Amino acid sequence: MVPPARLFTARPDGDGPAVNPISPLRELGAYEALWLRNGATVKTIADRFAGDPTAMPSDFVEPSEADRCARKVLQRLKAAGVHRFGVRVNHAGDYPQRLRDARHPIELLYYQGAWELTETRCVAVVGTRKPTDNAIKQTQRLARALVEQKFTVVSGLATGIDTAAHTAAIEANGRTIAVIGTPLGVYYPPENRELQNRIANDFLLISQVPVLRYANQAVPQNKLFFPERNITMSALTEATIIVEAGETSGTLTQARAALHQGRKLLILNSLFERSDLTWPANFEARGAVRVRDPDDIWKALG
Amino acid sequence: MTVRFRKIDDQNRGHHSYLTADDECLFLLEYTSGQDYSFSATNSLISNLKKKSSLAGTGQYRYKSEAIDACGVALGEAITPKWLAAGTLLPVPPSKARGDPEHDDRILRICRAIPGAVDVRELVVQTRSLPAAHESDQRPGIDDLLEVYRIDESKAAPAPSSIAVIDDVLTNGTHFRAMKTILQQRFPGVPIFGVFIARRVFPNPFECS
Repeated sequence: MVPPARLFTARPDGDGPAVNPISPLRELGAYEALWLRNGATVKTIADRFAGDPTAMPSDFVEPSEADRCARKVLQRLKAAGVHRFGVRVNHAGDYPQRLRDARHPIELLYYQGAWELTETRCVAVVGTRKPTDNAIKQTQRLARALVEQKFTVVSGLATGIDTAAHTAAIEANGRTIAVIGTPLGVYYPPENRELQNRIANDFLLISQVPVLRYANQAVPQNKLFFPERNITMSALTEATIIVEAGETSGTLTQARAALHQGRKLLILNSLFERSDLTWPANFEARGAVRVRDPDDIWKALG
Repeated sequence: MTVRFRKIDDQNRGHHSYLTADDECLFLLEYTSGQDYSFSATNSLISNLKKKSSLAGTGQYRYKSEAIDACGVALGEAITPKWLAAGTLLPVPPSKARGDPEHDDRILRICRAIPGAVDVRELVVQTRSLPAAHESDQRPGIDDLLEVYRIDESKAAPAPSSIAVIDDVLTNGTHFRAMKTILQQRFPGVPIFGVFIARRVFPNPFECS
């Protein structure tokens, strides 16, 4: 496929000192504009940048359109109570290169909180939204153990395992990062509002979800953002641990991403013992680690 | 990987209370204020830069020199050769005046470490020491700085055609605003840019709103 040509010299050197200076606001608006185009997906957007690796969103969007979108995003976020947030954009400082390990890398992320937490050793703990009581207890023990070993516990702020992982890490005075499947200022599930705000204020909340596209489309389409954020969560962390997940769980998206990206994938032993599941053995055959006791985790993480 | 400058724009200006919409400021990195993020790469770069001059000759001081060189190289990659050939790099004066045992010329050294830097000039000097802003509860204001800033007329010719005021950290923007004020008075019409290694941001949305 021939990559779409750059249409705009959105970042001229001008008379100033900077080589192609980046306006985060302009990039944010341009990225949102790309997402508003017909048929835009994570893949189509990533393909565009794969074809032109030094391009930035503003190279493909008319400046006035980018700025109009940026203003709308600021208004929408402000109305949602998001008064301060940041972005990370490819080619600017502080953008984590490890995001490029994803099959379709994300060019721009929104965040609230302290970005520095991404520089700590991060392990994702994920699993089903409908866990058994035992899985909740396992999650809590696991999160506490990770905190004790100074790891940051990363999860997706969903009901069930995710919520248990974040909450246990915070209660153990540890650090946590939430990678959410909604835009900043949108709470899903609604009962996690307080937890999301706590993480945004005291830790780190990350969203790759475009604010305007999300607002313009219906719930079924927006559901697709949830598994996509799992791929980013894997890219941001050094390992993913799965506590409990069914045969068709979205958690398995993260498992596949972890292996593809060269991240460690750890699966609790109890899942191997369930006769209704075939995926644990499949992933083990492809390199996942079966966790029979905590030492297996520390050995795998090194 | 080469990092490009980001601009201060309408989205991020709120972290720097003295900057106005017509201030053209550029930065390479961000770091979060308020908690101990000493593990972060930017945090340790800045803390190495700020190692006290009294440590000169100790093993620790080596980290300062390495940080200065790294900053010079990073700035050099982000500044256009065309601008470097004609523009003036102007370090923000140290808080401790020359002759003070804690006089720290790290910003001047960063400017000189920029490959291809032609015109590095200490065009603004400070007549007496002030408490270092990052160590003091009573940070000097713009007026305090203007009281002690002077143009060094011995370095004023030839008049600069474009000025980049270099500093390590952008906080409220006090030093940049004071520098811009005194430079605009002396060289009216000459474009003045602020160029920073890092800017500080706040994690908590309610911290300074």
